[in-house]
Amino acid sequence: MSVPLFFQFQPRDVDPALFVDRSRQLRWLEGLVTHYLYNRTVDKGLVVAVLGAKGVGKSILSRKALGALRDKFGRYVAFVTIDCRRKLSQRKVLREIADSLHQELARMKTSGASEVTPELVDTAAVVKTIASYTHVKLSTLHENLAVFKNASNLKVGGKLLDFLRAEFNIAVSRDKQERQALEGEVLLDDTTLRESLIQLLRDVRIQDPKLDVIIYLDNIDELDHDACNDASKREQIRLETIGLLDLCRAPVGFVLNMRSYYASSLLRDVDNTYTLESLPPEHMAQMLQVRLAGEREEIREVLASDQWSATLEELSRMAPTPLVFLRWLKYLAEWDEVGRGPIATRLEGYNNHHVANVSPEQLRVVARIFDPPARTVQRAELLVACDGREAMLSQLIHAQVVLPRDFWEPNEFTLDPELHYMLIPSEGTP
Amino acid sequence: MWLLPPDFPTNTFDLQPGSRALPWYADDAHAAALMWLLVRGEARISEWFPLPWTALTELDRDAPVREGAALVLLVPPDVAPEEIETQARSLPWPYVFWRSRRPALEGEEAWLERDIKRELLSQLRRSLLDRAHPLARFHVDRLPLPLVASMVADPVDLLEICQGTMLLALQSVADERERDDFEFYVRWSVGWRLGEYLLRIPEAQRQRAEALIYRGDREREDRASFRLGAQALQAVGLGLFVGEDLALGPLARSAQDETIWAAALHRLDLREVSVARVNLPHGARRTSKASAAPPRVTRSAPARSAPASLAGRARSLLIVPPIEGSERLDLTMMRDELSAWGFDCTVCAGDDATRDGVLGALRRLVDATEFHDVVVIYYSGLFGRARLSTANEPAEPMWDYIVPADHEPGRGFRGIAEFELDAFIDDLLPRTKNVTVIFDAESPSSTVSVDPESSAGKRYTTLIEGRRPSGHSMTGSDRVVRLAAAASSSAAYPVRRDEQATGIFTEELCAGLSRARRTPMSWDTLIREVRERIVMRRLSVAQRPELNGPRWRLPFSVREIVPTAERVTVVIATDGSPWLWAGRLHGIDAGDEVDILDDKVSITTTGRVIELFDDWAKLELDPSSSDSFPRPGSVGVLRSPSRHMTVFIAPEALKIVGLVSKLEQSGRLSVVERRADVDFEIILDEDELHVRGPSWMRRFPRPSMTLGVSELVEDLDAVARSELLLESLRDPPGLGPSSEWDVQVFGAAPSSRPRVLGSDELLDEGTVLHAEVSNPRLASRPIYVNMLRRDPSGRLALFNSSEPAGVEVFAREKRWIGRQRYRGLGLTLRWPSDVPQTEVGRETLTFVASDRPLDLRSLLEGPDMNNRSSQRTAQLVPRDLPSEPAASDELRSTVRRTMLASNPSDPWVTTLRWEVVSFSFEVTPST
Repeated sequence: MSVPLFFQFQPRDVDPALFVDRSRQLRWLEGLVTHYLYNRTVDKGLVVAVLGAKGVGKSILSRKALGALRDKFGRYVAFVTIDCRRKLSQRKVLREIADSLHQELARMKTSGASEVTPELVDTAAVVKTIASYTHVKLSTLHENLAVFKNASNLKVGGKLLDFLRAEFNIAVSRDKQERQALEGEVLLDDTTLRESLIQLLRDVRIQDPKLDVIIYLDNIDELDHDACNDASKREQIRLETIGLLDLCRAPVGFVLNMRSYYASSLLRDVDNTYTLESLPPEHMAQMLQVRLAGEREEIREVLASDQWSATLEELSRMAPTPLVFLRWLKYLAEWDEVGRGPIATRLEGYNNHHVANVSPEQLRVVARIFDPPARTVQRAELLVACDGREAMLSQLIHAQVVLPRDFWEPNEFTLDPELHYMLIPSEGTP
Repeated sequence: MWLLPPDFPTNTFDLQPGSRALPWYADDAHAAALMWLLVRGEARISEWFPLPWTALTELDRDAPVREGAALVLLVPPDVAPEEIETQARSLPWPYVFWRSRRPALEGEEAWLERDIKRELLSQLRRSLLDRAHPLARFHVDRLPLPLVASMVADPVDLLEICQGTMLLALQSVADERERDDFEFYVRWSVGWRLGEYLLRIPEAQRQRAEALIYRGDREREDRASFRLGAQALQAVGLGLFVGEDLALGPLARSAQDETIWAAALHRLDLREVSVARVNLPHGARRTSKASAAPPRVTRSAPARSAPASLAGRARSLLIVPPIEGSERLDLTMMRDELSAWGFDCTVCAGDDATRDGVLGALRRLVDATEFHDVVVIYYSGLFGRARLSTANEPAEPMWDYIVPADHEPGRGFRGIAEFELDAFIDDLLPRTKNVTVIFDAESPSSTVSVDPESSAGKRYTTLIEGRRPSGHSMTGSDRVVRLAAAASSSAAYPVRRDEQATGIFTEELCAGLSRARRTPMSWDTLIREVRERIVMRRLSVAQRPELNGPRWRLPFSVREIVPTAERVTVVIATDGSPWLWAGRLHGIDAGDEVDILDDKVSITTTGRVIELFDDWAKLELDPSSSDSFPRPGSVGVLRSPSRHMTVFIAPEALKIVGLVSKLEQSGRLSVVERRADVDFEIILDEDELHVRGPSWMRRFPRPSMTLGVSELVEDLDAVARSELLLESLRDPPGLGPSSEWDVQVFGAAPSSRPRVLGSDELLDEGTVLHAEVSNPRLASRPIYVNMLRRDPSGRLALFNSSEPAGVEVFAREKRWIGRQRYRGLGLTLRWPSDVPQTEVGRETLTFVASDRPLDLRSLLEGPDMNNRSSQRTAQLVPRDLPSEPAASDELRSTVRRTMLASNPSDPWVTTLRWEVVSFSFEVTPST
């Protein structure tokens, strides 16, 4: 029985409303942040890292927890969410943080949070303005900062302005004549921007005992995923990531999401980490029901039929992560017109949709050496499976058919979980 | 892109902001298609801009970037990858795509397959299975997407192959052959695409590359040769060459399939032979694995680069005499474009383009033309206007001529007159129906007098006496596609490029033809685009390219894209709002809904008229398709215009098969259930269909068979359109104080000279009519005059067919409408064949003068009723119910208020000034 086409079902959707199960992990994350917000010291922040495989549910978990926390503390805590995918450099992430933080503080002020003063919003605007420059004439910068001179009236703190004045001779309160008389240029590099942000966050914290900021950085590992294939790019992206994580010195809350294989050498100083495992099979079905809520009734009816129930059960047992489960299901619902037979056979064309660059024969040969699915394989062994052909190995890596076990030392590889179906024995296979 | 569903969700792709490489192997069209795909499917990208690498230094990195804007960085091949990445990282644009002509970083294009292809496939699948898909009856649902998916990684390749497949399937339907062999069509399209990639490889390396593909990639005896072939394949994206190893991509691997390889070879062959071979894929030049099994498609139209239904040879003659000794870039451009279409180009240019040289070339073209050949005659140069000058006949008609290289004023007339050109085309037409003439010519500034006693004068006197005018070349006829750079008497602008002269028209036409090679579009659509682009570039409507003849044909083809509903052009105002280039005079009303076809085939968005003027209508786009903002020149199709006439079908006639459904296909007729106050009534009497309507409406009864039903409905549709137009013309605002115009109607009984006619005169059938329009004031602006003839049947027809947006009359100028400039005295009054000849009939000539061009054809001509898909409700609409929801009334009152305002809300739209003069005559039929 074929499934009518989905209306809006998207496996990659990370809307927190789609959250299921994992109440224990949710409590853990919410508890940590709540504890931090109730028991703060002026100079100490919080860093929490949620790790796990791609598609295991890190984003939904974090977004769900932060959503609930925002409902509870949103009046005087600024929540900033940044997706780091393809940002390529810390600067773009820092710039986005500056932008979002300014918006969030402005929103809080508008909604009546007396702890957020106009002076504080202007202080945030100063960093936002600085973030948009790399090289800039001092006179130009001052002209643009002049509209935020109210920042200099900040009652408490003023660490940001002190820092800018001391390091770069930047002062927002200069009058027009002074501004026009300024000469020279200033380089506002990544370090400057990061330090400015940290000073701004300190200023925020000092304003009021309750006022705080929680910054959520999602997908840090995807700053530039392709960098793992090139040693020099890898080193560059490591420096970018370390630079970005240096922001955690600021006395505010950070929630970080990244894949386990990326985190190996980055989070040594982070005490609060949690590695998320996949959902148990019974919760996969529950997750599906939640995601199908917006679909037509007839779709749910078909998926509830005996034939599809068996398929779903098998998929939930075989799929290594919830994302893979949903993707396999979407494929079968959209393309599997027969709807019968072993799952492995029914998923046979799946790889054509995103790894057509690698020939199906080659893919089968390569997949076989990863049996059992969790096995890691040395690069040399992989090359042998590729018949010694570097170009073919390169195709596999770039198509992400194989993924490095450790992003920073890509000598061992695992098979992309989406291709694990190739290792499911078909009927009659010994 | 036409296969993409109109409701293609803007959140199809989840492409995070960042920097990515566009594939190095993509040519301009490929890269543009990819970017437009992202615009359609990624909500965060709504526009894109190319930026040359060298301009990076000029880019203001600190300026804010408009939301939705993406940057495409054009990188020269010598820039190091690290440098590209560093720059891309540092740019403040959220989306930066960089494009280098050679691979810079390994795996740089992998994101296309990972992030785009899978979602594209999913959406295509959803669209093709939709029962409402426009191609559903052609089994679009059978398109084997999984097969395509396994053979390509690039999403643009995927779309192109799917579209090629559907074109082949449609061609098969047209050829009445089996139409379900979609797998074969896919393979043929894949091979075609593969061939196109191979064509980009330099000749010297291509054989090596072909060998690597054909034999697989295992032949490595000669390493140097292998390396060259592998590098060539990598350069065009067919493989990945790492170290000394080559891994073929899916497209190249598919060459192991015999059909695919045969199609690829066929495509390679086509580069060297004429376009006609596109449609005859038998007999590949080389020995191929498939030689024993020639492809089954006999008239394939993969159509990315070729006319769709040609069976003969494609010939073109390019006549480009020198103008002031300048090099002519338009010759190069047109030759390149026609060559790309597969034409053999014969050039008659420079000093060879003398009168004798041009006439000889035309004669050779006619003599060589065979049945079903495709013929194009292109002229770029100067026009002249001449008349035989005699003291006794000062009003001797004028004619246009082209100016060959040896024609010099004052040294004997050497021009080639329009009727001389017509004569060649007359000779061509029995040999082929597929003739296109293109004129990019500057208009004459003065009229040359030719002495009738001179040799040229005698020659023309003889020619004029002996020949009936056909109008193919200069004024247009219904048998030849004629494209002209400008309406008669208006300017055609030249431009200079690299010290060479060219016409804007040629430049824009070549760009349009280039697009038409990729996206099927009719001449009509193409010329709209050209016109729009010229208007935008010159910021003027003075140059108004014209198209006459079978305008719904595909370029250089006799196949037509038949309009399925009234079509109007969409333009974009200075404030970015979308408008229709049609308004109240075109039968449009507030609240009318419009489907907007951006790529000419599929609906990309819809809109609703919210503000109405005489020849403009402001649209409000459907907010759910805000990503699909129409381009200027897009076609808007009126979905169900609210202004229509009502038809009551007597109960006994309701049983006539097809009558109701046919009526419902008309956009301007609405079937009602009550007899009271209807405009038309259809009754059945003795198996014949009778129609009752206004008192003047008389018709012979029609048989109640299919043909009779079709004729009846087409007749009523035409009458309804005429009535609606005449109703709109009832309240003219006037041309304004600075304009003045005059019109006289001349009539001539057979064998007598024309005389000025007064209104209400009694005329005999056979009387020949023409009109003379004048714009007498010196300081007046040009006026545009449409002449509408309403015959005794009540149907309106446009007389000024060569300038369908109105005959342009400049200050102190007189123009004839209807009369040919030489010997043709005018248009003959004929009694309509479906009107009984029992009484005197009324013939009305209505002249509409306006202060800017006014093209009324969208309402007057309407859709082709035989091809219109039923878009209206199948239920009968009771007479006393409004056909639009109540909300429309509110909207209409808003519009009325707006119209009462002194000026339209957008200063870009100025009010059309127009006046109407009518002449009525009584016509007696000849017995």
